[in-house]
Amino acid sequence: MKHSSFRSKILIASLLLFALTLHAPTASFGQAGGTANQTVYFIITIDPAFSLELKSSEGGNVTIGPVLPNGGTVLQTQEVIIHTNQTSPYRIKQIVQDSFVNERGVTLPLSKVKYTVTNGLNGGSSNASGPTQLTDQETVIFTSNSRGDADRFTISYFVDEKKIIAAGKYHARIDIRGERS
Amino acid sequence: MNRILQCLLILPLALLPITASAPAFAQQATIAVEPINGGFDMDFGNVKSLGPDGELKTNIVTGQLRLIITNPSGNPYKIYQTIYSSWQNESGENLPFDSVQFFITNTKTPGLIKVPTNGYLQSGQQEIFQSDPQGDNEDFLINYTIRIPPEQKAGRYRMNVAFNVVTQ
Repeated sequence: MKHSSFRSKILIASLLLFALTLHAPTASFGQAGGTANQTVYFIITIDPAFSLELKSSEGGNVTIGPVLPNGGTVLQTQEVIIHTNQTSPYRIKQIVQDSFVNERGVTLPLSKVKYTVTNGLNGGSSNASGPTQLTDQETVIFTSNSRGDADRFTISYFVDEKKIIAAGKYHARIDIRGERS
Repeated sequence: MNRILQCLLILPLALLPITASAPAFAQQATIAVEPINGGFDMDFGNVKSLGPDGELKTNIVTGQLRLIITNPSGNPYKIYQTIYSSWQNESGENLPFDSVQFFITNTKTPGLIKVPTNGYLQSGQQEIFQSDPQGDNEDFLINYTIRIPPEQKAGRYRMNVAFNVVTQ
């Protein structure tokens, strides 16, 4: 009795397999008569770029003046344009390389110069939105938006002429540098 | 009786791989895709979207892909180019579909080119070629032009492009 049950199981299994072999070709053709496909990766690499453009009437120098004792506040503005195609945020720093000196060699102490920085036109933030004392330390003046987009902003340097002792036109060299966060 | 049962069990097992695959190999069309510059990927190389002094650059690069269709069925067929998502770099930035234009040249049969000269890449499935009525073997070039917009974000952009041949 046991033997006969085993045989019938084998018979059923073999019939099922045979039915499968008959069905298989129909499934592989599908309805459209046949398809084949190939996939290719398209790849293109865009090189990273980052540069600063400074726009001021005095080129790379910062010039304040002419200033006169007991005069009003004088200003020089400098526009900073950041060109970048990178996707990480960046900061802009200011470093005073040569302090303010007039045509007769008289030095204007940095403590008498202040500056402000505007917010960026493309979402970057000023780190000196109010009057800030200029120092000889490297100082972060601007932070990009989180995507590190290209941006532009303006720095304004000014001095209260009431604090000036010697008249003249004062020049300084201030470097503006970009640094990726 | 046992032997008969064994035969009944073994025969379909032996036939299964043959019956399942033989007609498909014999009659289905095949497609091979070969970048003309070699390799498996269609690599357009390095380009710039900004110059060293921040000047804006529109860069144009080109590349060619060869499609080879072998169709033993004798039935006509169509070729489709399929793209589900546009170029994307490692930061998730996209390069738009309309940065790519393409056209087909160097066909070998009187089949029909189904895309205009310098047509734009489209999302989804796009029919690009229809064979002659005999479904003759074909071999042609697809010429791609990529226009990188100025200030496009840097990175390695990738896009999957599938080519399907469908016999009727």
